[in-house]
Amino acid sequence: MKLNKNKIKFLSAVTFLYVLLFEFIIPANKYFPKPSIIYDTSFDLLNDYNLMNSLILTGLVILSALLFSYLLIYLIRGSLMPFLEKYNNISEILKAFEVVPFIFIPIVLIFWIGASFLTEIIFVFVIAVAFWLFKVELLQKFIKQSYIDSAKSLNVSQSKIYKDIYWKSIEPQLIISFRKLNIYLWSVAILFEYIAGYFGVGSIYFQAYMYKDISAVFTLTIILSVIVCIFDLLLLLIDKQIIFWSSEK
Amino acid sequence: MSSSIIEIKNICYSRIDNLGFKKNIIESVSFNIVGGKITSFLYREKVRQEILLKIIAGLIKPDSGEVSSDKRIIYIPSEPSSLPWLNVKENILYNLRNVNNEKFQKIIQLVGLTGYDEHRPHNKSTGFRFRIALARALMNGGNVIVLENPFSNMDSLTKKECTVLIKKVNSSGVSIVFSTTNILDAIDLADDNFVITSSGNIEKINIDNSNEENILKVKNIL
Repeated sequence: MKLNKNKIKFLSAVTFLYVLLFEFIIPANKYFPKPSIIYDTSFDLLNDYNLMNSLILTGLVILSALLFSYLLIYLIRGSLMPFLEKYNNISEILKAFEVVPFIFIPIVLIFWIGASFLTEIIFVFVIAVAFWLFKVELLQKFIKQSYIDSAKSLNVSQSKIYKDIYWKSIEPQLIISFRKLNIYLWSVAILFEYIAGYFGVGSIYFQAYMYKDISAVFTLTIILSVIVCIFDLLLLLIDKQIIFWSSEK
Repeated sequence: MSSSIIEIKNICYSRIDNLGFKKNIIESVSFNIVGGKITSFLYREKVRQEILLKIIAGLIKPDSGEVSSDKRIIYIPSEPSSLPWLNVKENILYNLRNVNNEKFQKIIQLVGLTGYDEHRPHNKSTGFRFRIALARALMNGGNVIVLENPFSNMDSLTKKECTVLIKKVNSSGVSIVFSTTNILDAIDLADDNFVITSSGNIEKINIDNSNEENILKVKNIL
């Protein structure tokens, strides 16, 4: 989510229209809360809904899932990449499950292990690892054959070709995917917490729903959007610092 | 008199095409490549020349027949093969354990990369990346360098520079084998010329005197 000029212009226009419409023209309606109420609700979220603790909890889950899933894939890349190359139709087979509603997984997991912080960590981590596996499998189909032929001709070992050439070739695209995964994991974690119902940011949505507090839903969404955006910009910054080459096709 | 450094005896190679039919790519060919020379392979079909060069370089095993050579053969693909995440020096020394610094300096001087040690090859010209690949092959002790259509992505000036470079490398005792679709490259650069025919055979031809009769003969064979 790169905040270019057009996006900033669009967001500013939407904000301006929202303030104009719901603060001044039609302030009393049951669908959209007044901007001034949204502002006030942010303090309620901090004091009454314990937003800060929930944010730290959810943020920690997402950050640790992002880092440790990538670390795991990196550490096993030497055996993972030849495996995925050999069984290159795994993702096609697993696509059979794409018709299963996603919500089934967190519900079943809560039934099996119980709704706890640990269950959430396991759930988000598994989703992140699955994301990387699909990504690696997809990307390694596009590695330049000239790198591989050249390395083989130089008697580079097959294991080094996988660990070094395959990995480095797909790394720029993987780092870009970090940003997609970040956005994706926030939704996944919030969904899990909503179902679990008593911890994390998702549980605030649940409470707001129970209390019919629509302004809390709006305010929380705005706060989360800003936080996800900050995470995204940080990842973009890291990406630009460490990846100076691109995946050539 | 120069002797053969690569002997190819009765090699065959086939593939199953998209429709499930067996397609012969190389059909029982035998020829020798003479040491110290520049040898060209003129071709029309990309797949045949790619397979043939990879068989010569030992990257692909033929279905039958044998390739015998006691030389170190290094293959350089047509697409740039220098690794964009490494700088020039790291690329040239890639996978080498014991680095002979004197040899390295001689080689980068030979290929014209002196002073570019720390540059990264990404976004540089194809000529720049070709020089890196050539230096890497020499650093790895290549006695025979197999170039797959080396000039396909080059502009005319870069091509001329690389032609001169190939001749320079050859005069240092390294044998060069290359494939091309351009008969003028073969005339300009090669000492020995072969044609890969559309049926997968190899024929040695003489195009020293580039007269009309010779050109027509090549055209007929292709």
